[in-house]
Amino acid sequence: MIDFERVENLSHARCQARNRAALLLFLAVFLACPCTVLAAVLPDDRTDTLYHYYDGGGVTVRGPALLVRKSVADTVSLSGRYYVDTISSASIDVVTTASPYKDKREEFGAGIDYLHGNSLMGVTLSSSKENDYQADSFGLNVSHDLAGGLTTVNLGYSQGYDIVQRVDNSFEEDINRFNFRLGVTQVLTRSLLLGVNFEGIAEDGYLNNPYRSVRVNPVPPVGIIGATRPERYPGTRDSQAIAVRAVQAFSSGSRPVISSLRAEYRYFRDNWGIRSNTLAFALQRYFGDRVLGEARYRYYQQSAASFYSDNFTTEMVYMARDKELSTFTSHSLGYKVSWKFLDRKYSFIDRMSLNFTHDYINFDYQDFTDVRTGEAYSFGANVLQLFVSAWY
Amino acid sequence: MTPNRIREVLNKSFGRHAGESRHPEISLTPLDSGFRRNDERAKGFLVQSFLSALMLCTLLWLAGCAQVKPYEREALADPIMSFSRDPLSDQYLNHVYDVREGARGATTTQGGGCGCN
Repeated sequence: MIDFERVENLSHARCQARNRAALLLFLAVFLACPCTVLAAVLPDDRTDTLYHYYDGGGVTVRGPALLVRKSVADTVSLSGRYYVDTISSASIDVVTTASPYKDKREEFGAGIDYLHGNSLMGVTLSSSKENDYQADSFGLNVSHDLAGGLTTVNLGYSQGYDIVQRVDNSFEEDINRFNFRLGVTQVLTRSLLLGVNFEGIAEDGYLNNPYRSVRVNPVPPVGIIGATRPERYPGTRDSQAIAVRAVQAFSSGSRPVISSLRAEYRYFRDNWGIRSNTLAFALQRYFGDRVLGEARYRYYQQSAASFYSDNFTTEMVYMARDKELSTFTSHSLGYKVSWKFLDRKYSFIDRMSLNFTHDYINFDYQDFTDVRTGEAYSFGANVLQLFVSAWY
Repeated sequence: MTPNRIREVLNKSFGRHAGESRHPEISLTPLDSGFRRNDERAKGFLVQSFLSALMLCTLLWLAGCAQVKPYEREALADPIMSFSRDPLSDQYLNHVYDVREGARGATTTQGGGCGCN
């Protein structure tokens, strides 16, 4: 007979040992970065003030966001971030199994970067809170220039701790999250950049939504939700994602760069059985000295988690009916316009720009049914951003 | 994030078992024990290590091929050659995708915590 408790304890111990080993390895690399004469640079001193708006699938999310970054010496840069989501939700999940709700999420972040030779080291903290969810995280990052500045290697580790609650009772569970990042950016020619990024994420804890239900019916009913049970997810999730990105510059006459084309591909897998492919392109072009335009397209496709079903004919150990875990594709088409309205030093500000972006995303679900109609669910969403950037 | 909260995060991560239920009556054991198989997690870790090594080898090989002098890098310094020209805007857009898709990670920005599940 299998001793489940022993198996779980062993699994936890191995997981924790692995996370400790990864953190120690990261710190070893972090501290052993060699000093060389080539210099990396601190991020730009800039402030972004943004208002965002999302409307799609019965959900509206809006709110302000602010990012301030300022160097306090030649080698230290501080940053602060504030972000708000004001949510009004009548999504397909909500209208079929619950009542529309409103919520507010606030997120605070802070970071410090230290430049040492050609290495840039950073620490970040983040805290997010809403009425039934709390998330705190910290991260360590180091980037290092090699080969005369032609190659930049990035290493990152972050750890998050979430508390999942319900608004209607004292339910409270937690999630631990560990992220490992490795990235390399390479100058290939005088007009071509290549980047490769890998990220592994390990999670333990209560990973499902405490409100959501699955359908359990021997014969799928049409027009009604039918019999339901609470969702049950596995208590762990490991995922790996690798992305390859390239940017090519194009010149025109005396201008070394008039436009650029960015292409990106990402492959994702996890131990829940989800596999996904993401393909994205962006074309950017200057129009005169003050206007910069961007047109972009993104394609996303994923397979369903192994324990996902639109309707379970019998009760299973793990059950999910979250459309984010189903089989679906999405297409996103968008544009961005930036207008540099201050291009000379005024007081302590070097330049300022006004930016507007609009993306339209269409989601098509293959095995998630709108129970009201009995047909496969799909919806479109508009994502808008208006922001002002100032460099100083 | 208060000092108590930081202590709690560290204690939860490196002290008690991660994922330990606060409510014994709804303990995740033994329902999910089958999913915490060591061979499954070991497989994921091996894939992770292999991909990392492959990526590093490819890039170091490419690094050896590149010959671009510092005075030839004017175009590369232009803002439109950046993978993430506006960090706050890109962070927001990545967040929009993160909460509506099963995939996550390897983006150009590092996101904060969110009620994503």
